[in-house]
Amino acid sequence: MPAKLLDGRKISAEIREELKGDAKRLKERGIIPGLAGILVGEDPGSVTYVGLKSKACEEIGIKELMCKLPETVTESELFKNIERLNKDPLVHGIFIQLPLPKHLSNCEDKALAAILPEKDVDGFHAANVGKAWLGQSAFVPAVAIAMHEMLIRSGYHIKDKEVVIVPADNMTGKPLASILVQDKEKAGANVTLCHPTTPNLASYTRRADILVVAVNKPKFITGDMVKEGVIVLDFGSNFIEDPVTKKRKAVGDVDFDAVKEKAEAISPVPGGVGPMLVTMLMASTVWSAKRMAGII
Amino acid sequence: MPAEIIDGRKIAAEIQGELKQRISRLREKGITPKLVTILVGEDPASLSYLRGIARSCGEVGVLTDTAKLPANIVQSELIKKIDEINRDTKVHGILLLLPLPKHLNTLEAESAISPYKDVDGTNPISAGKLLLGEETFFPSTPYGVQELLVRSGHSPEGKHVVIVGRSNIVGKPLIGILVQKQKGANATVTVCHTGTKNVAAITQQADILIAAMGKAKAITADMVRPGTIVIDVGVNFIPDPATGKNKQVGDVDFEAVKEKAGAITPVPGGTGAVTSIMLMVNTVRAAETLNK
Repeated sequence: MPAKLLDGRKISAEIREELKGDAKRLKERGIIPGLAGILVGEDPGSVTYVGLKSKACEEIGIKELMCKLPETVTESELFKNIERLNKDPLVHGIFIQLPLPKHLSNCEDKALAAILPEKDVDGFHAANVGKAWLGQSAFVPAVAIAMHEMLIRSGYHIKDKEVVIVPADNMTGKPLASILVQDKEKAGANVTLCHPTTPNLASYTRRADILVVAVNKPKFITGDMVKEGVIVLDFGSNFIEDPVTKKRKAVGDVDFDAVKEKAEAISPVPGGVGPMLVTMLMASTVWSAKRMAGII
Repeated sequence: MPAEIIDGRKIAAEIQGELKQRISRLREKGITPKLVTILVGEDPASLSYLRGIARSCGEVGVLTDTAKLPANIVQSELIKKIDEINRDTKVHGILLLLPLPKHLNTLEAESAISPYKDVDGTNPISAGKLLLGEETFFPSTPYGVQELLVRSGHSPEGKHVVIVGRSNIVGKPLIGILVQKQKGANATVTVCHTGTKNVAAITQQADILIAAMGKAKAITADMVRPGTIVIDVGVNFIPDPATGKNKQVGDVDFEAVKEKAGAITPVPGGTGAVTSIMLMVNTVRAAETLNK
């Protein structure tokens, strides 16, 4: 029987409805969640992505406070702006749209570290990474909370499951492990962190009840690398030529057609984890506004 | 064939020798590494730990001092004291002894320790940097496990490490340390715990098995594949039928498992023997870094 699809668009829409309600209730208390994005220059990919975030803010009822800086901005000007947003009481969340222009690329880490941890809705600051890892309340990167929400909202249990994650990177693998490894409700998995280079990788992936992959290699996970009944989350993003139409199309890291015959559930590409990301940033912003107001 | 015994005391002595040289180089520059411990109240376990730290410091030549604070100290006073030590340029390492009295906020106190002096790696920022693979201080016990593996010739690189136990002081930092794409790490890491159903099916997969659940003799021979490298972080006290006294045992059934394992750490004399020296390593590194 072919797998159920973990429909990121549908789950995302569901979460946005809830966030709208949250934002409305906050407004009744006189609080409007505020999200500030720092965009340096006019990288087309970044502009598009920031546009998606703006639209989501508008839809949900989050005040968007964009900080657009010219391509030529100096390092000290950039940091002055981060500092200004850190201090602004109307701002509950701050993100920096990466990548920064070349002349600033070596201060990316420093810039991310300059964001006040209490407003670091992307969850990249070491203070948030550490707190999340230690099981305390913290911001966690969007990919990880998106995957967790997709599992929970689709009715899948995590406790005692074998979760195998490739790779052990800072964007996906480690933050997701941070959520799933805790001795808590909706967590408590036995987590294995693999590298794309792990010898005999299939011997791990075949054990997985839940398999997470984000390596950006098409057909990296083939049908013989998974067991019957596995739940697969695919965060690969690859563009290949469609053999029939000769057009470029997006595919994930999983050989979808083969794996879907064995899996219990699978997130498609496109339409899986991707559409969840902006929504999870919104969720973190609303959560931040609640936390600063002392509601949670 | 019985396993190779990984001798923690020997490895600790080796590290100590290297450390003495680093300390004498610092001394030539007029710097003596100094560790300040903070003790709130008089928890007996903390007092005993303090004596151990003082001994280690004395052996290598690290200065040490204890800030003894009353059990009824208020949070703001504790933070003020930590901040004062943070700013003391003669102090390179700070260790806050736990547990704190119940009325105090441990997380806030740990977060107040400067990451540059957090030689026990308890500030969440240090934990975050550890997980991100950035330069930071590793907590001594997991750091010692890595040193034992590497120095005994059983580097975790490319190996499957299974960690049983997911505590914030051992299990989690060990995952963070061993999974990094770095020398002496780069392992594939699985973490499970005592409550895991069919834990044996997982432990049997391990090239390197690390027992850190705090349960006497919980790892039995049937849970171990022949040839596995077994690292025992457990410290448990059970009555010795021969003497009637309590004796120290690990989380591994040593006598049985050593017949199957490729190598194994004893308890005592394994991981515990290395832990205190790692705190010295961190303190010396802090002194070197702060005086660069």
